[in-house]
Amino acid sequence: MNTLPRTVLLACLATAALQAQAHNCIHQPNLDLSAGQVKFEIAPTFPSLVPIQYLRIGLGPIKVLATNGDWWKDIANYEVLVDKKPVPIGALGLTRDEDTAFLTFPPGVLTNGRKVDVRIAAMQGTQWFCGWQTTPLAITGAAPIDGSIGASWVPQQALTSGAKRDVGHLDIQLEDKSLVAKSPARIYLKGTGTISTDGKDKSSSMVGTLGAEFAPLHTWYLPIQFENKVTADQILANVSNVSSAGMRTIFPWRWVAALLFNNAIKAPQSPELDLSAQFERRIQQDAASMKKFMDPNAFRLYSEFNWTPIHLFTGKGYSANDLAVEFAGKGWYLPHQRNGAGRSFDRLEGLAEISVLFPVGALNLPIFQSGDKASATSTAAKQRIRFKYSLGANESTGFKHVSQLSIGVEAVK
Amino acid sequence: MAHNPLSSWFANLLEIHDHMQTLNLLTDPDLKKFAAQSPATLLPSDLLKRNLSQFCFTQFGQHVPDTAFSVTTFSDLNDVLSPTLHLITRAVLMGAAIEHDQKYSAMTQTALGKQLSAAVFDTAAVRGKLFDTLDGLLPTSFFPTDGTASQAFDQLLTTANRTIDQAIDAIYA
Repeated sequence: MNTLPRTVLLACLATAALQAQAHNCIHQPNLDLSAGQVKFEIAPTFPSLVPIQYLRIGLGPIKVLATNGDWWKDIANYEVLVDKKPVPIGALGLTRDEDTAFLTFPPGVLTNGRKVDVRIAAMQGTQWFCGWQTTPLAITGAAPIDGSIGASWVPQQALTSGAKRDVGHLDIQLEDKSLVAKSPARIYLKGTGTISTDGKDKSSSMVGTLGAEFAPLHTWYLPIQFENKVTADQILANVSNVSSAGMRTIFPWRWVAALLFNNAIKAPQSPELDLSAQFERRIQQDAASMKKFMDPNAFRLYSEFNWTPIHLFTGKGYSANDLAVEFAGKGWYLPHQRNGAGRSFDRLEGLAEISVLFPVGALNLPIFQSGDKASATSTAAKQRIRFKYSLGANESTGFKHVSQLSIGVEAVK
Repeated sequence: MAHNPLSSWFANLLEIHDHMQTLNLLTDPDLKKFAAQSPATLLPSDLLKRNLSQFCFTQFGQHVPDTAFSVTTFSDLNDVLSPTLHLITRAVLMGAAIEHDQKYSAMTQTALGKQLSAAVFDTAAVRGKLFDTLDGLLPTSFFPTDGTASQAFDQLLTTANRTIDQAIDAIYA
């Protein structure tokens, strides 16, 4: 468990002492922990982003009444029973206003299916008073590892030999969101794989990712991520290792209000900016890959910028029916590339996309209607036509430059 | 005690409101209207949600689970983080009831919520005192006190067959 903020003097409470107090206390109705005042939750901590599991105890209603008897300052004791057995509390944290307490426990205490009872005790004069939950809390969603496995059949799958045939796939996903409980950064492990019944299947893959992320700035959320990913096909004909470091953020947006939130233009949110650096080491390559990637090492810097939505000529209002634009941009810097003549050069590429969205709710196209015919008019989604213009390099085609205008109709839910 | 949890609930909402105006310019400047806005609308991306989570953590020492964002309004979100507005308000009313008549001290808060408000707050004096208490704890956008507000509050509590839980809902309607 990670250290809680504002953890106060009550860490590591002695269960035995609490039991004694609970046994000698007088039940006080006003110390009742009603439904909803005790919750089991998982949340990230900052700056480490390590998730912690805890019991949230809402003390506000008790504190309101404690003002009368001045009990609150002595509400200092918690007893927690898991499946009716007392368990040691790892740490107690309190919010700034001390209206909410967080109890954390050693690993393995709060697991799915267990039932938790919380008792609190407070002293008035020399007498202990206590209260408890009316019904125990059942723990759900506490599993530290997410995973899924699924089988599928794929007709006419392309093989590395150039042939096609029907194959079976086994898709596996596994993720441990936090490997280390006490760490300055969240360390995670992910594995995904598509195992095919044919080893030559072009879509077979195995990816293992070990990463760490944290948000070092106290004043603004700016997560920084380091990741190492090993990718391979299932017969290990192609194996590569990709190490990357990156950050993502948005900008404080209030200061642009006069400029970008007025009757002519409304951009309510900051653009999102993503910066990363990647180093790829091709450990094993088959002939086809060797032909495409002559250099076994590749380094690149990558940046992405997304700014949406921006509504135009809205007047005072703002709705999904406004004329809108969206911007997206990508940039790559790839040093020490080699051209066909074997000459080395540094490559700087970019791609800009701008979309203009026209609301066309009046079209009422049947494809965007839902439900029965009688209610089709009322349930029809709003529609808009998207004109998208792209200019720059396309990564998936080896950075070939494109200039493309596309038009589409889309539903707005 | 330095503060009352009811005023603290609104103090937290006020700070969230202020920070949301830095994140999304669609945030309504009026606190009560903001409280009814949807987190899904104003925080459409994970970056925005985490930004608010970090703000709550660093400002209030508050943990924000990801599930907190799947509620309908920011008032509900604040209810996830703090003891709910309904429960705290009921506790304030219970304090007033106990002060008026000690017999309510033996009752749980849940049981008090089922009592008829007109029976518990059975004099104009106790209702007036409760009005003043709430006036001191609630922002005016949630609890207007001008004009005939005190008479309206009196009527709210004395409406026939209205329980205290229902009266609390009526206060914030």
